[in-house]
Amino acid sequence: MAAFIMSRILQTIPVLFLATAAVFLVLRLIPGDPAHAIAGEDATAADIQGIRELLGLNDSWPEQYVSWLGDLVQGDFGHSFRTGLPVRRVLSIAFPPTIELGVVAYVFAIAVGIPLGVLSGVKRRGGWDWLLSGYTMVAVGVPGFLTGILLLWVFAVELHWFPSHGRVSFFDNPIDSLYHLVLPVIALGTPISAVLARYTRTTIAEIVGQDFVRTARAKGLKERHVIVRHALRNSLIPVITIMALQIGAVMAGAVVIEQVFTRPGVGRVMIEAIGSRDYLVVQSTLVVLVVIVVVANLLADITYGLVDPRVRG
Amino acid sequence: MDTAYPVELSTFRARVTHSMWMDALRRILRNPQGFIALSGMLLLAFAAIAAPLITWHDPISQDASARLLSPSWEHPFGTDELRRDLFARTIFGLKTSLALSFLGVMGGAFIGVSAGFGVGYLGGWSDALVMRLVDALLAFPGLLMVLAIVTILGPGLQNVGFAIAFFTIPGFVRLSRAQMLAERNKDYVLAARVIGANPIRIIFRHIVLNALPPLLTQIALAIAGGVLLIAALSFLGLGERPPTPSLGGLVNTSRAYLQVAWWYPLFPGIVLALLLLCLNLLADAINEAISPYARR
Repeated sequence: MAAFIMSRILQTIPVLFLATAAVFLVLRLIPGDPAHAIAGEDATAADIQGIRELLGLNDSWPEQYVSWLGDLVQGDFGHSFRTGLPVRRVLSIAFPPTIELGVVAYVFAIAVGIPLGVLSGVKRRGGWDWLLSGYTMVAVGVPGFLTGILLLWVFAVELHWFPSHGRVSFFDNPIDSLYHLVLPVIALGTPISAVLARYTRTTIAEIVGQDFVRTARAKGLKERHVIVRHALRNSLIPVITIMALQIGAVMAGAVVIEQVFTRPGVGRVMIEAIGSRDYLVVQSTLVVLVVIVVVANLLADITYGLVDPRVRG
Repeated sequence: MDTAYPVELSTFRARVTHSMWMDALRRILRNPQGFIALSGMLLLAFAAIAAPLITWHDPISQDASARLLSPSWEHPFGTDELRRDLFARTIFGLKTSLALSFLGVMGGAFIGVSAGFGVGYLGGWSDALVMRLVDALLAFPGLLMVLAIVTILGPGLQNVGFAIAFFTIPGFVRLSRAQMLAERNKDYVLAARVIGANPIRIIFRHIVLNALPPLLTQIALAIAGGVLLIAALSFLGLGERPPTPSLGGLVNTSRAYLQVAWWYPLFPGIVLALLLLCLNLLADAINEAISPYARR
């Protein structure tokens, strides 16, 4: 098992290189000069040249990439153009609230999506299956920010059951923190839970028809036991894959949902940075988000090994 | 199903050989979900195209005495804080969303499919290089990539269109390459080659026609994704500039008036949800109609 985990970690390194290269390339491939964008509409050629020097934009792409990556690996993200603060500090303040929202929304999505998927997959065209179809349709048709606005309107503005904005750190006051999280978590988690439920349903429906499930039933095991210990366990690999893939969607969705509920976090930092063309802040935020997604996929890979001994090979 | 038709019609149908496209259309219409999705889409597209004819209000001009009026015959969706008719603004917002997403996706699909067919046919190092780049781009969540692009290009509708085109490219490259690899070694391609057709003719006259149907599903899904992205970007204030209306932008401004104007977020929200729902259902129906595996 240790060897398996090591090999997976080693395999992640080139992926991380590719991912940082992709962030770098996306920001370079697009027509438009970042120096021009930073300098503003009425900058002189000398201003722009100065900024190009400062950013190292006059070097060749490979040179720029290597120097940027070298700094990055040493934890040096550079400085924000707008505020002059180290980007690392900006990010260390921005990420905790977003990760908090993302983690709770993710747990919510799994807690709703997987059981719903299992129930409707076991008995296709049954009551749960219809419920799931309706739920998926609504979750697909209504974007997270719209769900957010509707929840805000009904439960915060009209009924006053939940706060309409802000965030309390979990470590300061866990109860109040969760209270502030309820509405954003539902808005962010609902579309994700629908995706999870759909995949779980398909996988379970395939597995329930297989011989070993029939054997388990024939042995006289309780239906609950058959489903949870046999069918669910064997359908976990595709489900874990899709769970890991959703982490990117959770992080991207969090950026939008934070704006609905006026929560601090990556969303606010990104929007402000984009508005003021604070190039390095956007680039670094993207890198951190991509690393989170890649590491999540690594963890999913390792989990395969735990769930299914055959994968360890 | 067939028994529902009069006898003459079913004998007539048995004699006629349908083209692949007519066959697919017939299957979509016979599937209740597909029928609803297609009619819904046509209705919304008609409303978008005929926007200036449907409403007599201007989406931008302000009506002196009509601040935040609730829905009425005169203003079916009510009016906003600047005394503008919300029905007109919703319909024009729908037009912008749909047109922009369609154009962006078509641009992205054209580039992506050309590249995918190209490297799929050529193979070798160009294939390996392009596919690794595509893998890396697909690792990004779409919204984040579009945010990165808008950072460089600056906010604005045209730039959002470019961002959508860029964001749809990797998916189309991967799918069309896979299609090309599947079709390339089939007998009909060999036959075309044997009679001396040149590669360009083989790709465009033979392979593309056979590889197109799965791309249609992808186009419908990508347009839905584009509409969602435009709405999210407008919601974040990075899309159109005021006073141009957009569905996401309307929902965003409505936040400040939730207590006094329930109709403000509701109607643009419903139209946006219907649009997304129809596009997704249509993608499902197209997929069922053209893929032998997905048929019921």
